Formats: sequence, structure tokens, C-alpha cells
Amino acid sequence: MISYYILLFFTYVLNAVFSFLPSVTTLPNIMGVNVDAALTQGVNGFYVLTASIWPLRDMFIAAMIWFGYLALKMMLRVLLGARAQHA
Amino acid sequence: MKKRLSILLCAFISLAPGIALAYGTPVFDAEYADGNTWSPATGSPHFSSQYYALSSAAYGDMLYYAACVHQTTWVYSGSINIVAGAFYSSGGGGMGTTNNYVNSSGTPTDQVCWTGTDVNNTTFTSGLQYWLDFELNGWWGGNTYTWGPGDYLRIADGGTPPPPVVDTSTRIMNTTPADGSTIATTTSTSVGANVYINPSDYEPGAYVQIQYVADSALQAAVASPSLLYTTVNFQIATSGESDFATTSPISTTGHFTVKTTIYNVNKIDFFNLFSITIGQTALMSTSTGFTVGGLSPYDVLVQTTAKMMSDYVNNASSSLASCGFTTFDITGCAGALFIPNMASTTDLVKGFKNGFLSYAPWGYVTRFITIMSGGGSATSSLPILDATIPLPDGSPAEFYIDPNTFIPQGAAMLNSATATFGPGQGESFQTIIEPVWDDLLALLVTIAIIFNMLGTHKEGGGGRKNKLS
Repeated sequence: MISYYILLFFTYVLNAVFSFLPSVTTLPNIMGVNVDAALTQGVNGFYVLTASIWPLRDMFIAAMIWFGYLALKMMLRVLLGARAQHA
Repeated sequence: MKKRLSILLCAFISLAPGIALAYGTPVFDAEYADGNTWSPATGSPHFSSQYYALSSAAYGDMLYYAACVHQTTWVYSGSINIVAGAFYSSGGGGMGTTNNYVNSSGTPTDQVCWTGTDVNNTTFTSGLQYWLDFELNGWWGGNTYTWGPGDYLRIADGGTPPPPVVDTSTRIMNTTPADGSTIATTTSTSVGANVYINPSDYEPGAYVQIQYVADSALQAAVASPSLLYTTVNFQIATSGESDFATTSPISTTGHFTVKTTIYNVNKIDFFNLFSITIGQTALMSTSTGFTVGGLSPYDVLVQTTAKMMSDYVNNASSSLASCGFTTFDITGCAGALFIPNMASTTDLVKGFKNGFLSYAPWGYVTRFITIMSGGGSATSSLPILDATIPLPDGSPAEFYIDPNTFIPQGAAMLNSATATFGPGQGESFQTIIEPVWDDLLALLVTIAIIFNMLGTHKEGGGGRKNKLS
């Protein structure tokens, strides 16, 4: 309860402090192209494909794990900065 | 005369607190007017403060009335007052006023009717001229009632109060959340409807369907927008008035569209032995809306803390009873105090995602991740290729390819192919190959990550820059 309450407190503070910023519901149009709709349609179409073609689904999961690893490494590098380079 | 009437009108309005003029075309029913006809029955539709020229037959009678209004045109939540007044002048001298405040406490749920007579028992007197003002207003003012279809007023100058005409048509009387209302985000929003179904319309199996969706979700281009709606069905047990409600979590802020429909099932009877149901017919449908607003930080704090306490008290696996003086258990107490339960953690993450993570500019990243995870919309179909190409002889040739048909069917056919020999005899192609395929992919990813961490895929010192150490 205590840990939850602490996290809740920080959530409220962040939500309240940044509440002046506009809330994003869709991606913006770029040069007249509805990126949100196109991306949604494309990704959901891909998910429909993966429902039928299971090798594609597993490859997608593997790719997500790989890119997740790269993102994690990039985040660590940003957080640790030059310290990691000279360790 | 006109100047005098204007003065009377102003005087009456000033005496009716919070008065709101009623406009429209109410029905003046002269049938109950004790043989007399009110002069504006076929005159101006302006309802408030009309002058009624009484025939001599009305003298010695009192005023009786009956009125019915509907909530669908009701724009005010609070007490209802009908103001009926008779103004009369006496030979150009003084004048008197009779006000009759008929109060119906609470908010009307559907059709609301009143009958009665004027409080002061004003008896129409020969030689006088009367004003009648019959108005509907919220006592605290500021609202306006607009007369709608089915609303009416009947006036009689004697005898007994005219009977109200009760609406018995099949209709959706109101929906919850109320049309135009604003509610706060909550995990237990009450969604429901109050309906009336006429006995002649009712068939066993009839039901009420409520569909609602956040308008923001409709912004995405989807193949089947109807799938975006959350649908709730309620079976109608009998004809007459029925009230349905259920709770549903609504955490998205913004405007919601609600479609409410009364469906009657279509049945074919076979010699009264049995019947089959073929589709349904919409008897009545309405489209309403409500707005979900975010709570203030203080409100959220109060609401969530209360819910948090309730969750923990009601959660046996992390009972606060372990912290009690006589039932103290350090393991259970520590767990209850420091380990959030699943429901609370889920709410926490949702609140963080719908709040902080939705703000620009990082809200675009959140939206991107949402789309990539398949949560952008409920699309469940692939685009169809449909093209018409003219042939050399001028006739059109249409190419129509629906991948939603042949891809699933082809994949199902391949996956269902079974081995006819070996250890996997009788097993399907997918059952045999998928574990091998998964292991191969897992091995490749693991090797790629290890090599990347060690930097062995780079030549010379180049790998050092990519090492995780």
C-alpha cells in the first residue's frame, strides 16, 4: 500500500504539472498524409496476416526482442553517458 | 387595452421567480372546456400569458388543467414548477393575480403529468377579463423548456380536471449517462436505459442494445467502425416500462456517442409447435452523447485512496487484518503495506498512460507504441484490391482480390496438412515445425545479442565502442 501510494503521488504530480500540455490522441498529418490512419491500417493489417501466417508472427516477436535490446542499450548509454565509455 | 395587457404580462413574469417562458405549440384541448372555447386555441402558438376571452358559460366555474411534458426536451435538473395564474381586472380598476405553483420534486424520468385547479379557487366572474399563464420552469431559473412532440396542455373552466393523456408509445425514455451530461473517468460507470415498450409491439426475445464509443476512437480509419463500439444488450422480460443498467469502465476522457436501440426479434411460427428467430427489427433508436472529464488531482486522490483502501480490505491475499493488534503477522502485514495488488497497479499504469504519457510531445511516442502494439483501432481485415481495367475491345475487366478470404483459408489448409510417416505421424505441419522455428529464432536472437554485447562482430577496436561494458 505504501509503495503504491508513493507511486500514485508521483503520478498525480506529473499528471497535474504537465496537464497544460495538449493531449495527443492521434499522430499528426505530414504533408497531407494521415500518418495515424495509414500506420494503424498497416500495422493492423500486418497483425491480421500474422494471425494466419504464424512464422511471420514469430519473426515479428523476435524482431521486437532485438529492437528492444537495442533500445535498452541506447537508453543505458544515454543515462550513463561517457562513464560507460571509459569504464 | 394593449398597454394594459402588457402591464399585466410584465407583472406576472416578475411574480414568477426564475420564470422561463415556454415556447412552441402546446395542444389546447377545448373538448374539456365545459362547452367553452378558449380564444387562443387556434390562435398564436405563443404559450405564455395568453388572454382568454371567456364565454358566459364559464362564469361561476373554476380553472382546471392537465399537462404532460417529456424529459427528452427537458433541459433542467431540479424541481419543476408549473405556474398557472388567472389575471383579471375589475372595470379598469384594480387587478388581482392568482398563482398556482405545482411542484414535482426530482428530475422527471419520462413523461410527467399534472392535473389540478388553481390554488385560490378563483371563480371566473362575469364582466372580468382573465389572463392565464401556464408555464414550466425550474424554480432556480435560468433554464428554458421547449415544448416538444407529445407535450400538451388541456384547460377546462369547470367540471373536473381533464384527464392527462399518457404516452403509451414504444420509446426510449432516457439513457444513462444522461444525454449532454458530464461525468468523471471511473472504472464503474453506470450505462443503461429506461425504456417503454407497448404491449402490441412486444415479442418475447426483444432486447435493448446500447452501444457507446469515444469519439476520439472514431478518428482512426478502420474497415469496420461498428467494431469500435462497446455493446451491451439487455433482454426485455415484459412489455411496459423497464429499467436496465450495468457498470462499465470508462477511462478515456472526451465526448462519447451512445446509440440506444430497442429490437424486436422476428419469429416464424410453425403451427404453434415451434418457432424460429430470423433477425430482428429496430423499433426505436436514439443517439445521445455524454462527456467524460478528467477529475481534478484532489478528486482523483480522494477517489483512488478510497478505492485503494477498499481493494486492500477486500483482498484476502493481502489483508490488512495481518496488521491488527491481535492478529498481527509480520509477513502478511509487510506484504499488505508494501506490495501493490494487481488491480491497483493496473489502475496506476492506466492513469499514468492516460495522463502524463498522453501529453505532447511524448504523447506521440505513446500513440506510436499503441499503434504498433495493435491497439490503434479494431481493424480486423486486409485491404481489398478492386480494379476495373478496360480491355482492347472496350469491355471492362474487373480484378477483385480479397486477401481476407484466401490467405486465412490457404494458411489453414497448409497448417492442417498432416505427416503421414515418421515420429510425428498424424500430427499437423504447424505442430511439428513451429517449435523448431521458434527455437531457431530464439537462438538467432540470443547469439545476435551476445555478439553485440561482446563486440565480436566488429573488427579491431571498433567493437569496443559497441560493448555494453
